[in-house]
Amino acid sequence: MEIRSKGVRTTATIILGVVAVVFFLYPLVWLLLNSFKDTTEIMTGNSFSFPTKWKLANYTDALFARNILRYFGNSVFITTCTILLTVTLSLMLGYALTRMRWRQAPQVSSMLALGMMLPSQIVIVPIFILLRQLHLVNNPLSLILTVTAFNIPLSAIISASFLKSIPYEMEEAGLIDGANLYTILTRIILPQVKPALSAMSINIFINSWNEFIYALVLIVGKQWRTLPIALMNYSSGKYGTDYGGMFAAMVITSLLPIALFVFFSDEVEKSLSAGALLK
Amino acid sequence: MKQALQSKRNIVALAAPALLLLVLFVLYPLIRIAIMSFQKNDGLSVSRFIGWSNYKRLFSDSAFGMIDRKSLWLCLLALVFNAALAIFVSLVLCGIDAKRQGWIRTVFILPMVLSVSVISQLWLSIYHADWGLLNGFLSAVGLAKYRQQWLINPKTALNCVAVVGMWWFFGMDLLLAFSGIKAVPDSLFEAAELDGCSYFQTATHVVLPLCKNVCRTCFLISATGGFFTFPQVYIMTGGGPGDITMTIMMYMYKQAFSNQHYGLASAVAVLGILQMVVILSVIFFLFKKIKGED
Repeated sequence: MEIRSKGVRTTATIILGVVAVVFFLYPLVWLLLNSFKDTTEIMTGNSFSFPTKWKLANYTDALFARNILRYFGNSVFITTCTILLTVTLSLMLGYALTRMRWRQAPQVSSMLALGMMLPSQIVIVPIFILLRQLHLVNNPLSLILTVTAFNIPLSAIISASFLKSIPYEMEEAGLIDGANLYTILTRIILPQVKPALSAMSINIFINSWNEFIYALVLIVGKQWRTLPIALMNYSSGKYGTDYGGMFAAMVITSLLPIALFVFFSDEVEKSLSAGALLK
Repeated sequence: MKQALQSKRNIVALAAPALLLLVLFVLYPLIRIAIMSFQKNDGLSVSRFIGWSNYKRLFSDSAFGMIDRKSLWLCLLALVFNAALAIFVSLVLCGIDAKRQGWIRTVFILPMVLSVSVISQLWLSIYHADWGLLNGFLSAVGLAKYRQQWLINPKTALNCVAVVGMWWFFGMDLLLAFSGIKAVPDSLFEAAELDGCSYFQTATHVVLPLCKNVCRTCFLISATGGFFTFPQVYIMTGGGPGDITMTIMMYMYKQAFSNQHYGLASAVAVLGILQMVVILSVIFFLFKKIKGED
């Protein structure tokens, strides 16, 4: 489909292009340029120019003096655990829902639907109280379990719908040969569900890496703080207002999601829209 | 031979871990907030039932009414400027030269993969009164008289916060609507054009009815996102100045984690969920009224 008149088409392209560049892309470029500027230059210099002197110290200060490297490590650790746990549990549940017959399966499906519709943040009070009773506050496990739980519905539905499209014969042959459930799952199913794994992982990665409210409430101390929370108090405290460093820390926080987007943009777009469409 | 797939033990082993997490973090908390909303709970002493007091307090509090209306306003803005606008932009985007569609779409989607923390900090800087991008831009184009303290001025603060959520989430709606429209077979479109329909007649009468479900999803997720706006408010304004940018979520957070009024916060959550159910049902109902493919 295409707008027939060439003039209208060109005008529409120009308008959309200008809006995209000025309103969506330029703020990000501004962020990147500011991350190389000295704080004084950010506050008093020309907003629209390149840095007069490219200040790489913003990045080294952020990474080492302000511990961003450590928080980066925390984020990587928590996100990795969340992805592994969610994918494993969702595949198991998805398999049980598609290949096995049990009476409670319909109730489980409606619970998945409920979990998908519910905005996770609304139940933060009881979850905080529960995890405090379990003495898990300030423990990365609390964040991993919570984010995993909220990502299971979507991932389980993705894996169930994918498993439905896989023929059953291979498993049947395996069963005749006396394979047990573990062998079937790891040797027969796992190699076949790779496309579903990437769709699940991308969604979980974005949710977990960017998780804000649960990271804010469940991880209070510095030891396991994640990047989104570390950014929040960057420009306050004893270091005064170090805006240059703050912009550098923001760029560091965005590196992995942007890299993912740049290198796998088709995959990311497909996974995100698949995720939302199942809702 | 099919024993492995029918044994109760295997079914439990596969399903139980995920189900346990769902029960602990979805089902139980929902029941728990319903119960806690009737309790006085400060997190230290034993909680006790106080009937409808929490709800009565919220209903008699004019501040809460204001806060609720602000959340509804953010919900409405999200419906118009995220869902409806994104569907319109996708229609235009699908009509331009195919080779230019890709990068424009990518730029629109880019903010969505970023952390809302980064986005809020970025917009906090953009709105900064002295060196922010917005005031700098106004001066550069000769509109310096409109320079102001965007997040402190009561007239602009709430809408400035709303813009951040729209900027973050616009790509999601665009991506959904765009892939929905692309899934419509070109032949249908060409047939309508041969009958003499203009591009926008075809788009609204042929393409959109076929994307009814996708459009509904756009409206549903935007409504939820707008109504429960939280991180942007928490990072950028903390609900201030006064209560100008206070949303339901921010109010609940404050009652629970600053004032330790867990019972009252639960009542806020229950009222939030109930309103959301009503809003989503209205959207479902309106979409049922529209002709189109289900």
